[in-house]
Amino acid sequence: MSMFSTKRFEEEGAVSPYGENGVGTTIIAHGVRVEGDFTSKGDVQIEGDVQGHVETGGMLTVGPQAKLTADVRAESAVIAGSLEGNLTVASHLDLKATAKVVGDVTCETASIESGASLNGKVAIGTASAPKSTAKTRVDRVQVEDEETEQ
Amino acid sequence: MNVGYSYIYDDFLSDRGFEREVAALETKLNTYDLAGRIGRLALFRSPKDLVEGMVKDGTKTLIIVGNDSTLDKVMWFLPDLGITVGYIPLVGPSAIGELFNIPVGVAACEVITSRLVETIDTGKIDDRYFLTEVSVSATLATLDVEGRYRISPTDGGSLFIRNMAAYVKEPILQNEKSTMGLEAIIAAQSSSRRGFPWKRRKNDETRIFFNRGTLFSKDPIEAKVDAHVVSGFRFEVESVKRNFRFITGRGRRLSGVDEPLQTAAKNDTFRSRRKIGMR
Repeated sequence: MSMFSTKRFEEEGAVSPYGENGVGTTIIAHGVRVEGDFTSKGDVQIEGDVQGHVETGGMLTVGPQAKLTADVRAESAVIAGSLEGNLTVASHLDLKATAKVVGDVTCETASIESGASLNGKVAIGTASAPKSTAKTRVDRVQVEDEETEQ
Repeated sequence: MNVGYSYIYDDFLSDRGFEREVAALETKLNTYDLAGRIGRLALFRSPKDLVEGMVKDGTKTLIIVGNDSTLDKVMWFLPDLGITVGYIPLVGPSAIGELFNIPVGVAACEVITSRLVETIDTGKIDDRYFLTEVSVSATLATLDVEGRYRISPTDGGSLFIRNMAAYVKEPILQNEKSTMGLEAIIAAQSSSRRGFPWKRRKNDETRIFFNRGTLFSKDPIEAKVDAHVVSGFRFEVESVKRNFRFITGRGRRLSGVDEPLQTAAKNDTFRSRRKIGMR
């Protein structure tokens, strides 16, 4: 049996700190504050407080307890917490039911759960040109609204 | 005698209780034709002067003999000397030995004679190098990362800056990813109070990767660096890339020789010989 085994992670459900590309997943946990220009090449998971600017070349996950007062840029994003600032996502944005976003949102595709709060301009399908505020292409939005389904 | 090899013995090995181990070690080294000059650490002798003198006299490979504390006594200046360093943990337990797959006792001579040399990164805090980690407990200290952002626990917590692995307290031995530099881990007060340590999830801790930063606080910081303690209000911390040539055990080597090991390393390179693995 190899000394370097990944089986332990699978068995115990532990989270590996390293992503598929070998770049570590950055975690800002609850009870920690970050101020300034926070940049990362890998995935970023935020559960704490962040003020300033956040930029990642990977996936950004904002937990339900997180409070961001920041402009955010990410390759893809899952938002379940509070965000005050402009959000630019190159590919897919997922707003969870607990998300509260105050600011302009730009992304390529999006899914928004019922209950999510979004206050700002929304440009979907224009992530490659984030400065433009082109018309929203509603056909790409997957609104997972329980009431609508009924 | 092999003129390229020199040995640093810790002070405690002069005790009669270790006569047998030292004799067995020297016999083994003679068998492998690895015997060399011996320097002994002592209370009022500068380890730095001793080692620098050896290097001046032609030492190319320095073997540290003792325990993890012995290595700690000389580690802070070794990377600057440009020599290859080996380690014989004659007395266990040895976290460093386990990290580098070096057995405790005379069996470590096998590692020395195999001479698998790995060039590794070291951490640097102010002007001192460290191999494993800097740990600060119960602190409100702030870490300024490369002048770009500042990170701090809001209600205090423990802060660890790891070059390679957790030291003695943690059950995890972690192989370094050499491209990553340093890894800062903050266990905030709120999360460190929650339940048993081994039941905590990995994402209860803040985890960032960086190459250079400044650790500072209004209150004095008492930081444990490898196995010694330093105190002050402000520390410059950085990762120094591939500046330390260290003789490692066969299972440790991750590049260049063994494809299965490389593959495993690409996946995830945590390893532990203890029963408790991840928290």
